[in-house]
Amino acid sequence: MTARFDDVVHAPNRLRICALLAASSSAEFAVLRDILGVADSVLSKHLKVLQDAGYLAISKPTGRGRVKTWVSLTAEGRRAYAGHVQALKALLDAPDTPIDAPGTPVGSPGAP
Amino acid sequence: MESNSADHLSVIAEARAAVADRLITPWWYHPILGLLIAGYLLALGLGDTVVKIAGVVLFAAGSAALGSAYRRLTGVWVSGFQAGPAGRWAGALGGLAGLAAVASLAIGALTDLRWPVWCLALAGFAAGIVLGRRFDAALRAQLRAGV
Repeated sequence: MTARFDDVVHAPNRLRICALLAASSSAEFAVLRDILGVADSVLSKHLKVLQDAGYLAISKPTGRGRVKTWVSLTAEGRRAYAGHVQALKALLDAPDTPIDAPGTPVGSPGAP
Repeated sequence: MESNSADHLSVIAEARAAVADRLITPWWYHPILGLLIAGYLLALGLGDTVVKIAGVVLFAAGSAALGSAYRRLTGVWVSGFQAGPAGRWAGALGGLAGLAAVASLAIGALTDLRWPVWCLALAGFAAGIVLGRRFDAALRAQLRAGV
């Protein structure tokens, strides 16, 4: 796993969303909203950003009762999140590591 | 920046703990899973072709319905395949159920004995409860253990 900062994941609420979804296979919209303590519109906005980046899949399974929205990380989203966490850990282990180039592998030969 | 990274890692740890808090399995979940496994093994070992097929269909439909009920109640789903190290308990349960199914089929086809099939069904029921609960406990501990 390459340590790599990811601008899309880095925003605090999106980092929390990714952490919640990486710890599970899928989660319901209302659960994410309650844990994050944000309004529906705020959560929707962040989910849209993650979905547009290809990191998130949204489904609305039909069945009995009210239709609920379920979200899960895609394989690409899991890779991006794992790389971002590795980058955070690398920074903590080596605080002098330059991080002014989001999206650049941390500690790789090509890193500034 | 070091403290910023620490803050972000702390946010991640809190999010994982929040998922662990949500994963409270209803008391009836594992007994029903155990009953589904036991019924499946009995159908394979003691039934004719129609009963065997019905057993497989009922097991698949029952497992799907059980998972669906769990998702509705908790709002979170963790597949055994995506559970990391805790997934070994789910794998062990699946492996045991598979082996017991083969043994049950063989006993039913090759002998007239019925009690070994009932013993396998009892073992399947117990495995559904014990290994299922071990999976839950391991998963929650893993989520709370860190990033």
